[in-house]
Amino acid sequence: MNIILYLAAKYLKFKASDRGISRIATIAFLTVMFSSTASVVILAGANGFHSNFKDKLMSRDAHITILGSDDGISNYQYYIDQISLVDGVEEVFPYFDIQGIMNGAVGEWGTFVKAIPADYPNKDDGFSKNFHLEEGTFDMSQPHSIILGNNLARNVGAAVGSYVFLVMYDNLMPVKYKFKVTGIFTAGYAEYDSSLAFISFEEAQAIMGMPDNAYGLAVKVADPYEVDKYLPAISDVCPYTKYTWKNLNRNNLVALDNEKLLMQIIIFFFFAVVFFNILSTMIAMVLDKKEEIGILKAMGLKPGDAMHVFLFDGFFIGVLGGVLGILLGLIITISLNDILHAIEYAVDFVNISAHFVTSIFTPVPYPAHFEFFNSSVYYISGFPIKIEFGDLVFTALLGVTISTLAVVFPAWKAGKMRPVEVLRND
Amino acid sequence: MTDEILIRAAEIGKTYKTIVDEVMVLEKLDVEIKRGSAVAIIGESGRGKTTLLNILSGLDNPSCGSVVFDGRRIDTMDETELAVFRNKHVGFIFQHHYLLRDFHALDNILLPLRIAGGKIDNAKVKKVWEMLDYIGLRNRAYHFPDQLSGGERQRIAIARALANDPVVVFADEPTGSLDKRNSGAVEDLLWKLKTDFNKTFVIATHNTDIAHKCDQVIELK
Repeated sequence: MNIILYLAAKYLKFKASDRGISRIATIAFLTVMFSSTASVVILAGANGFHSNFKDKLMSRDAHITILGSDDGISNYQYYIDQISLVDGVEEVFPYFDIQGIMNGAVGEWGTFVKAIPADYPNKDDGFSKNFHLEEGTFDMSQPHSIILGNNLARNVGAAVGSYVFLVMYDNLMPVKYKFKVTGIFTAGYAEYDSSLAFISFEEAQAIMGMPDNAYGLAVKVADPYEVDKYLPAISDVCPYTKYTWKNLNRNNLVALDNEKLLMQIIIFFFFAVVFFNILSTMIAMVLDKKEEIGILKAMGLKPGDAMHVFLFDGFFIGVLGGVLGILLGLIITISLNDILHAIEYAVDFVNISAHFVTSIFTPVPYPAHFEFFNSSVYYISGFPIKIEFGDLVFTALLGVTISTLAVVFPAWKAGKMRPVEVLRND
Repeated sequence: MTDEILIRAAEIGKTYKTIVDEVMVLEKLDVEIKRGSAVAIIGESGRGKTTLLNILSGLDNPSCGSVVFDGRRIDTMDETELAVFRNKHVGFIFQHHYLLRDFHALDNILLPLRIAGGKIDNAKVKKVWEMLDYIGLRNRAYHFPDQLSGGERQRIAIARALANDPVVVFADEPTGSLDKRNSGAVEDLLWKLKTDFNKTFVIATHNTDIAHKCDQVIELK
């Protein structure tokens, strides 16, 4: 075996014949490993929340929105048929966007009304995934049916079966349209819950006085994250202006990207701590081995080889710590919800035990079930996670680079040590 | 011993710089060492015995003068050239054994061979086992330094110094840290090696017994 690899392995004491594993190497290795684990879990959590948020954005605005002229799109059924033939297009439906004021039993509230085909909520899986029915039904087949976000319903004092008025202005004159609330939904996104309402497309055509037109067309595609690739083919068959969900939510998406960048910067600082930890432990290792480096050099170990021994150790610590850290991170990420649920049960157990003991002396209310993410607040059944390959590469590269860079100075010191000085001093 | 000069140092000097001034340890010293001889360097502490030993062995460069080892100047070599030179031609025995604590005796002896590069084949390993037999420590081959006595450690260090079959063995107070019994055993081993292997030995020592047995004595005053 090459003397560099031989000594590097010996100093890490990873050979079976060696007595234990170097404590110094273990500290450095664990630092890289746990930082890599934290990086994977944090980034997967952030991705999960971002992905969840993007799904919500896409659920309202469709993947591609095609807007007509002032009079909307007249022969919209023709375009629906044409666009439906484009490769990758999964669904096309007409819609209206209407802004008005919702007037209910206890108040008024600014409302964004989305008019979609009456059967759409029951047809599209994505719809029911993003809009959870809290009360009533998504059925809009009956005339003058409306479905409200739960906060909007609360703000205007509406419930399933009650009547609300949608107030719109025509030449500064208010026009009221009466609707019966058939359903109340929660989207888990405050803006939707407090201002969004659904009515049927046919109802909107009547309200807007455009019985043969659509305000626009909503297109759903197979791969919404690569939505731009469908635009040329759709443009070939439909001349109207198109917006992707990315165009319409540019600010939100930029904010998400910035947030991800910030996370990566924070993780970089994480690894900066790792850098100094490895630097100090490896300096300690070189000082600890000073005498040995001296005698090895006296026996003919070249300065460059002495340097490479420690550089290889740093690289090896980075690779092993990074790989095992990433694996541990993946295991934790995949079982994160189970871990959180286990903690929830543990907290519940402590609370119930405390309640049992306390209630002997004084009556106290039974403790509520502890949840990290209350489903009635966050509308998620578990902690959303999404593992991205790029993040794993980012973590691995950071771990290996930082731990290798951290040993450059100690390795240089080892290479520069003159045996005559080391052995004389001892 | 032959009449052939193996090491020739001409007008060598060594000066150490301190914060306040310069300390001259060796001044215009001429040394000639014959192949196969045993040479003792003696003198009071601080007279430069170790410094001279280091310069002659290529561990250190002189401040002035020249050192020719087997026809090659070594005082002008850089650190990497000196490292290769030491590995091929020189063996060291120090007052302290300087065995690597995480390596057992066999691995410690094999170190110069590993540093030299090439495969550690059966022939090389066999030679090391023979060396262990020679120094009487075959049963200690897989013992770590902290499992050996002081005398055993020094004998392993001597075996390590000879592993690469060097031309010269430089010994700096080789019995200095041993008790009388172990000191005698190590001294006997050195003379046995000198006789059996016909190596050149350069020994810096305070021990007058060793000096008296040498072919040549260099006294530093």
